[in-house]
Amino acid sequence: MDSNVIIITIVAILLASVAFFLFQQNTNTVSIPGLAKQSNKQPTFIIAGLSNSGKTTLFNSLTIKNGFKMSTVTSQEPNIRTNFKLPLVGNESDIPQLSFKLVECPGHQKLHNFVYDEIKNSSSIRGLIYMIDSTLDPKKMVESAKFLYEILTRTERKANGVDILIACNKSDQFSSRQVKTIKQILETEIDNYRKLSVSNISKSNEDGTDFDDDETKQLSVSLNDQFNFEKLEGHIHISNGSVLKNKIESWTNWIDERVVNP
Amino acid sequence: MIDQFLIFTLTGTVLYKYTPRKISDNIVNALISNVLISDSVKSLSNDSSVDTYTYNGYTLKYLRVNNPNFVSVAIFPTLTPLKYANELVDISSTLFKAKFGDDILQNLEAQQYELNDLDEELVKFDAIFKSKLQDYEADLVEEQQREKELTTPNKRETTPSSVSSSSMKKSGGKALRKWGVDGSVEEAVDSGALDFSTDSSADQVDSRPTEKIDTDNYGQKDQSGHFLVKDLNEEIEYLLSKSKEKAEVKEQFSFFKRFTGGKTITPEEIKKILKQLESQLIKKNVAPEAAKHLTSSVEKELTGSKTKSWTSVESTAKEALAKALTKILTPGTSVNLLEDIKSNPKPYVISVVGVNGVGKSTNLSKLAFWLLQNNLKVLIVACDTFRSGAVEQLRVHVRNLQNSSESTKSQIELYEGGYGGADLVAKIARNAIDYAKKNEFDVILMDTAGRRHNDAKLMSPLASFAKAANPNKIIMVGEALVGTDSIEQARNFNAAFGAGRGLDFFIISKCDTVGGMIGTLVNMVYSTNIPILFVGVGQTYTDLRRLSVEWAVNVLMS
Repeated sequence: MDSNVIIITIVAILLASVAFFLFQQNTNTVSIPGLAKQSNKQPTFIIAGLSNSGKTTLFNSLTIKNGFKMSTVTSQEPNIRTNFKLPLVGNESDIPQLSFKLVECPGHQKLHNFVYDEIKNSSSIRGLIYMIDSTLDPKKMVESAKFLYEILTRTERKANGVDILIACNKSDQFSSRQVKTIKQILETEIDNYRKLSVSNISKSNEDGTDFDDDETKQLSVSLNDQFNFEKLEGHIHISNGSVLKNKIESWTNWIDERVVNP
Repeated sequence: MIDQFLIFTLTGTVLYKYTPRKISDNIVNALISNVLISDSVKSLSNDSSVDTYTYNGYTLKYLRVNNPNFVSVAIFPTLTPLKYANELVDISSTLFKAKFGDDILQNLEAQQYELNDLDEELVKFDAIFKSKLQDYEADLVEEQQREKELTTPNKRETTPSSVSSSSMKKSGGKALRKWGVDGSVEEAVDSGALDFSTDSSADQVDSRPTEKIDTDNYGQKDQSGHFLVKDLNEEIEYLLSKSKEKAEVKEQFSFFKRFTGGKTITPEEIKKILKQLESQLIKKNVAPEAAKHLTSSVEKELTGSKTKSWTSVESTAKEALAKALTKILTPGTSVNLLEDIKSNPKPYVISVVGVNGVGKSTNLSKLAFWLLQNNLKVLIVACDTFRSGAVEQLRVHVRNLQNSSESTKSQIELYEGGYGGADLVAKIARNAIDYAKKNEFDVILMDTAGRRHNDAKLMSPLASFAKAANPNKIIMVGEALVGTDSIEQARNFNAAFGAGRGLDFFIISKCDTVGGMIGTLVNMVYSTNIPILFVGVGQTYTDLRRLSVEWAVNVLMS
């Protein structure tokens, strides 16, 4: 009697799993068999930025107790949590928390596609934290502006855009630049860069995998107008802080706001 | 002495750190971005051996460990070589994996910090590591003493010709030679400094203090830490034996897991699948060498890891391979030629090189067309003084481009110097630059003669040409049709311009003629790490495209 029940259960599970597997295989054949990127419907926060801007340390300090003290090196792979509990203030009080996805993508030039893929495959991005080392001199900040531009061309394609926090890290250091200055540098550089991109040669995308039209490249702002963040669909907030000194309240507040009022 | 020993994860968190001396983080970060990410060291054979990288006066010995994935690295100054570095890195990695491997995998599965609740164990590992390090140091001191005993009689007679201390002396001597210009002075300084800094006459004086410290160490251990040391040794033995026996645990329900995911991937399975994928890549014109490299890196990454839920081993392998291809094809620096042209002084010189018949002139005129559209004044220089009709071909292109619209009439010109030998090429290049400066051209495009990459006689003039023209960018045109030979082509051309100068970009032509077989893209980038600027996709002036990595990977994987 008992053994019969077990056998029936096993057979049922087997059939169900085979059916699911076949179904999975079928849906995968849309582009390449076995290579379909999984779409992510979970509400997501993304941390991006160039190398050595403090992304991994921010990720650690958000996910691990005393994580800001842990030393880090250049990342080669993204850090991912799918059980990230938000809002963060709920850690100390009784406010109910929900599971979010938190992804921190490497900043090395060769690995930027992790960010692009994440933006593309997530249908519910609550916010993107773009980290900048505010001690960099303006010339090096150009690189950061370019990366932010590439991200914006992707987030602005989404309905209503994506809210972005530009987190100017290392503000405790003597050589750090002011938020206002950084904003100005970024806006001028993005303005220059979108003009260059429009006149650049288009991409080889016979199957339309990359969007490459002028509208996207201009970020929907006419080339005759000066670019600024206020003209974008997504809301851009810029504020400073220091992960190593654990001064990240303004950033965690920003995250919590996005959780409460999506 | 060792300066730093680190164990860190691929996601960038440092798990264990031993830093007797403070050194910049840049050194280990340089290893990661220049070697581990860019994949510039092509080591196929040595699966699990310690590799070496030198940067900024430091030597880094590193080892990549899979499952759980981490990297351990020992850093020390290049001038004071650390004999036991390889062993230290190797054994520490083995010990670390044996001690923490399972816990880390568990924590990762539960999406927690890798070393969650393992603080005490980490303290233990710290003690183990330090005692190992001490053992190596002690061995080294002993060995040195033995060497000294052997060589001291020699040294008293004559200083230089001793054999054993050669490595120490060499490094010291090389550093010093930089100061002395005058020959005789240099010699005097050299031997004098050696007397003080390393051994020879200061031999006996030098050896005694180290001996003392050594005995002190043993004394301490005997008095206070005897039990601790014994305990540690036992633990080390235990961990080492554990790592050996841990070969294979039979997995239950592995048949179901093949469908449901969460299956541990065995070497046999992954090998079989990767063999298929490898031949698929080769069918797409990827050179066997590059295909092998890609699949073996995937194999290393996946063996022993678990598949995600509801994914088969096959799709896991495919995904990992696509990731590796994306990494290889994505340029390591941002590529924007227009920006570079605008930020450099005029005239900006670009020269194209390549094998015969790959489409150098055609792509040159495509470039010219694009530059003209961006309101730049372009001078085309005929540096192909060898093949008959080469100059005439360019003349036709220039005429076409002049007539393409009203505004471009005066914006493009041809500079020619007829036909002749290698000297003429350099002369034309120099004169053309002068001419461009006088007439305020923005960009100079230099065509060169096609040459066979494996003929030294044909390749050697490239160095003198690069010197005369000193181009801002050297672009190699390669054709998508070529296949396996493209690896050698790219390597030889990259090396042809003399020390300190290489290719800057590739343009891969004739991509429209090969169907999906665009493996040449991978070959060229794999062999040199130089990014692809554009791909040629047709006959007309507008058939130039930037490479979409996503598209290329999709084509290669389908």
